This record gives sequence, C-alpha cells and structure tokens, in this order.
Amino acid sequence: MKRTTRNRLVAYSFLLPNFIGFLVFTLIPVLAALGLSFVKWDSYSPMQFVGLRNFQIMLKDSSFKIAFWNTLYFTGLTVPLTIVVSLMLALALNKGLRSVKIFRAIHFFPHVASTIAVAVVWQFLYHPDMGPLNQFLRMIGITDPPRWTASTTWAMPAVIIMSVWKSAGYYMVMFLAGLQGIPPHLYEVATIDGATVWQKFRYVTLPLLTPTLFFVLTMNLIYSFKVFDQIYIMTQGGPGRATMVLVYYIYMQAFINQNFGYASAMAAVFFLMILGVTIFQFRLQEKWVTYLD
Amino acid sequence: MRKYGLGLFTAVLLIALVAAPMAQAQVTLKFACWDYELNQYDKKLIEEFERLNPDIKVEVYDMPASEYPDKMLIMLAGGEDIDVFYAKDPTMYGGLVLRQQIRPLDDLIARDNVDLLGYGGNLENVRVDGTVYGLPYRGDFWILFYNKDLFDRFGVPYPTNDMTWDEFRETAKLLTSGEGADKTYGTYIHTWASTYFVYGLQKHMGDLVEGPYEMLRDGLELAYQIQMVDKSAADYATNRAMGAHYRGLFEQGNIGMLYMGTWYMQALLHDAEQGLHNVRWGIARLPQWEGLPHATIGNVTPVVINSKTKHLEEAWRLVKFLSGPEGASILAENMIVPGYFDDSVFDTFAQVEGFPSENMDALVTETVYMEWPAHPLSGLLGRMVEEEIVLAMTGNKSIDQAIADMEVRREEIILLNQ
Repeated sequence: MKRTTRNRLVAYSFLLPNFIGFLVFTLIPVLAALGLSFVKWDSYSPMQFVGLRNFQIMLKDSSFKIAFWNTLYFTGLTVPLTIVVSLMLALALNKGLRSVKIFRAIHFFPHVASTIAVAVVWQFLYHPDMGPLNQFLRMIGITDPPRWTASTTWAMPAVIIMSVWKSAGYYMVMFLAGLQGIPPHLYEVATIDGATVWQKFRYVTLPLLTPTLFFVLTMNLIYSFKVFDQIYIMTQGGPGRATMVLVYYIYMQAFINQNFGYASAMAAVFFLMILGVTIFQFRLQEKWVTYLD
Repeated sequence: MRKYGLGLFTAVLLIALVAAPMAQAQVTLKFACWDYELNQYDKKLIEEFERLNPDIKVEVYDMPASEYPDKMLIMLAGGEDIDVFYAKDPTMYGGLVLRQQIRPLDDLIARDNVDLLGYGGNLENVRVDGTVYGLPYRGDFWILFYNKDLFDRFGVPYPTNDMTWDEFRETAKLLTSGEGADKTYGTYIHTWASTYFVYGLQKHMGDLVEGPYEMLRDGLELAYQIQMVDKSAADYATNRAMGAHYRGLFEQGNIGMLYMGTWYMQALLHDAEQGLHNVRWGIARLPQWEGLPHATIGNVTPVVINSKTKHLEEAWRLVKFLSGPEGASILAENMIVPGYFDDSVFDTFAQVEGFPSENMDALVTETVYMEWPAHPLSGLLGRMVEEEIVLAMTGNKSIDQAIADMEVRREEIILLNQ
C-alpha cells in the first residue's frame, strides 16, 4: 500500500464515527423526507406514490398560504427588531465595569431559560383582562389595550415581542465579542481627527462589526423561520389561523392529521426557502461585509 | 466431580421442565389509557381483570387525558405493540378504522355469542360501514350540573329536565353577582369546541361533517350573548388564557350551572371524597331548544384491539371484560356511565354515596347525537370548526362570517383530501 493511500485511510478512519452519525441522523432522514414528499402515507397503511400531487395541494391549500405569509411576517419583524435591540444592549454594556457584568448576565438570562417555560409565563403576562401588561397599560391611561393573544391582529406581534426578548441577550453577547475585537487605536485616531460619537459609530464601529452582523443575521433568520415552541404554547396557531406558521403547520399535518407525505412536501419547500435565503445572503455578503486584514 | 455434575444437570433439567410452562402460561398484555392513576376506576377494572385471569398480566401505559389521542397515534405509528386501548373519541376511532390500525371484531362477537343488546344505541356509533371495530366501554352524554347552594342563596328554583336554552340564559343572569372574591357566575362555558357546538347538534340538522353549519348559529349567538352581553359567564379569551378548567371552577362553588358530560359525575364524587370541595350538586337533562324534542350529545368510548397484536385471544378477553356487564358494574360503582347499560346500572348509581339520586331522571335519554361521526375527515374538519368558533367567540369575526367561512373551508378540505 502506498504511503499516501495509507495516510488517507487513517484520516478517513478518524472521520468515520462522525460521518456515520451524520449519515444516520441527518442525511438519510433528510433524503427520506424528500422521498416521502411524493407519496401519500399515514405511517400505517402502505405508501401510495402520488407524484407531484402534494405540491399541487399546497398551491390550493389556504392554510399553507396563511402559514407561509405568517412565517414571513414573523421573520420580517423579529430579525430586524432583535438585531437593533441586541446591538443597542451591546453598545450600552460594552464597558469593563463590574456592575455592567451583572447587567450582561441579566440580559443573557432569557436565553438560558427554556422557551416552553418562558412562553407559559408570557401567556399570563398577555392575558387581556388580568394580565400585568394590560393592567399597566390601563394604568397609564390606555383604556382599550390590545387583547394580545386573543386578537387576530395582536397575536403575532405578541409572539414577536416575546421572541425578541428571549433571544436579544444571546445576540448581545455576539455583538459584545465583535465590539471587543475592534482595535482601540482606531477610535483614538478618530478622536484626534475630531470625529463625533455618531461618526465614530457610523465609520468605525459599524463597518468593523459587519462580520458579526452577518453571522447574527444568518443565524437569526434561520431561527426565525423555524419558530415553533412559542406558537405551540402560546397560541396553537390561533386565534383562528392568525399565528399559524410553517413549522407548526407541518407538525400538525404530520402528527395530528397523519399526512406524512404532505408534511414532507411542505418541509421540502421550507428547506428550499431557507437554502435560497441563505445563498442570497452569502452572495450579498461581498457587498457589505468588511473584514479587517 | 462427575457425580455432582450429573446431579446438577438433572436438577437444572427438572427446574427447567417445571418452570418453562409456568413462564409461558402468563401472557403480558400491553394496555393504554389516560389518567389511570389519577382517576383510579380503570385501575380497579384492570386489577379485577387480573384477579379473574391469573394467566394474563396487564402492563399499563398511562397518559394524560389531553395528550392521549396524539400520543397514542404517534406510538402506533412508531410500531409500539400496544394490544388493547381506548379510542378516546369518534375522530380518533374513525382514523384508526381508516388506517386499519384496529381489528374488526365481528367474527369474535359471532363466535362467542356476545350479548349486544346491552349496548343499545351505542352499538350504532361503533359500527363503521357495517363492521364493529370496538365495543363501547363508556357511553357518556351531556347533562346539566348545578350548584344547589347557589340556587338556594339567590332563591332561584332548581333547573328542571325540560329547561330551554332561553330559560337557561335567564337563570344564569339571576345567579350572577358580586365582584372579586365574592363574584358568582351563572354558568361557565368550557373552552372546548364541543361546548360551543352541542347546541347546534341538538337541532338535528345532520352532523358536523355533512350537515349545514347554519345549525350552529343560534347556539353561538347564545354563548356570545351570555359571555359578552349578559356577562353571566367568563368569556372565551379569559378562560383560554387562564387555562381554565371546569372541574376546579365549578368546585370552587361560584358557578351556578355547568353543562358538561356525564364523565364529570365521577370526578365530582372523587374530589368530594378527597375533601377538595363541598358543593351540593344536582343534575338535570341538557337544556333544549324551544319547540324541538329533547336530545343530547354523546361520546362513545370504544375499547379496541391493535390489528398487529400477537395475543389476540387474551386481548379479546380483556375487551369483553372492559365493555361487558362485569366492567359496567365496576364503572357504575365509580359513577361512570358505561357503554353497556341496563337497569342494574341505575340501581348501582342510586347506591353511590353523594350521588343526587332524586335527579336520576336526568340520566334517561331518548335521543343521543354523536359529537363527531367516525369519519375520515372528522379530525381536519374538527380543527377547522374550532378555529372559526374561536374567532367568533373572541370577537375577531362575526358569527355570520364564521359560519360562511366554515362552509368555504369545508369545501376546501374535502377537495384537498380526495
């Protein structure tokens, strides 16, 4: 056996355990799901090949359309809000003081708590009559506060607010790491040149933070598309279908209605959607992300 | 050493010969149900069955009631070898039949000459296209519970068996008063969709799969008026957000009337025994619509056999026990309305301590309509009807609009699931 061949085999043998795990738990299930999207199957009776029928149904299914738009609605608001809030928190807490560390910990805490537990608590906060939130709003003179999760208009914003609160602390830590990575001498130079605080942020901080911003944007987009736990606990997709999102609808079709074929077809579409957005982002990255050499 | 070796060999052989048939004789059946430990009556049934059938051991899978149908379906889909279980509602039953996950029982019924008369009308509700796939274990139906103390306090006469929904609404107003801790409500309308469509089904315009949704209008209007105009019941959104449960609320003693299934009788007695409440309760028939004959809504719970069972004979013995006269008498002692119903059930009820036996007539039914037919689309339509009811009850949509949308969405669901 040639030396290089042997070296290669040794390398592959190190990769093997991980690759088997990936194969069994990720690749095969994903391919199986893709295959399932062309059948009608309730997990019990024999599968029936139906070609593209599941995809045709999707085009006519009003619940799918609603879930699709709701997912975009959720993502479209959650991502920018989370980025703005977490960036502001990071800027405010980017100091070495001891007390600041406590605040960082406090803001990070929601990320550590389980989403299920947090969603249950927020459900009480949002209660239209007895909830602390509306009691507060009435106290400050808003006589007719939103009915939050009980209203088709406000249910989605309610879930969005909770989600931003939940994840802002996590992305704050990312931004803090990014801020620490900016060399202090750049600020010194800017100060000597007479730059204002805003100018320093706009022309030093922001450009050098773009790699972090890119990372946060990508992760947050994917997480937002996948939203499920909050919806499952707080609204079950309701009232009506006001907070029905794709992952929840896929779950419902698969495990409640036992339409595994149709659910897989939607999952395939969903996968393409996320893939498309991510590829688009990476393409666009060259235009706006600055790396410090 | 050789001597001992032979002796040892003989001894082992002997033990093996004796032990083998003994070990084989006991079959373990896997049985699934909900709230086994919490409710206790299934436990009594299973213990009695094991006592009468020493060759069978029953391994119980206990699940919370609210998660039972979903969890059960996922377990079956995953190939879990549960032998015997309950189909919690007609929707679940219909799905099981459709997917052939449960075994038809007609051949076994004929072979063993099972007496079917005791099931009365319940039998029709477990027959799908002429075939019986499960025997009725419970045969619950909706009645009206009321709190005698509250009626006495306000000097209002107790509800009668011929109460109309209009009278119900007026009575509820009379029982509503106070603020804060002293607040009393005339009624409580639970957050299930069925609580909002029982009124519609009473109109006998067909079932919720095929009948016109127009039948729901008066009932939804009534519930809306009671909650939002009279305010003699907490509204849907409040109940939903608080995760309200009828059991705790009625037993706190500040709810006058509660229309609910007969399954609640057992819980009321059980909770009183546990010292959780001291409400003096009575029962009456479910209120009716003026000018229409009395009817109530029912929910048969069949006990079924997994079509993949490896212990068919033993499973069938368990099914016969749970759904037959022996099971019925244990259920009746525990204040559960069994699927197998004869006069002895009434007699047993009358002897149960704490049961308002003077109201026994409330349990006499003439017409019982099913909540949902055992139809393949029941699950999907059920979810859709619930969504629209919620929209109407939370004021996000008018009742007219909700009914119109139900019709449109039914067409869509039928079209997409051909």
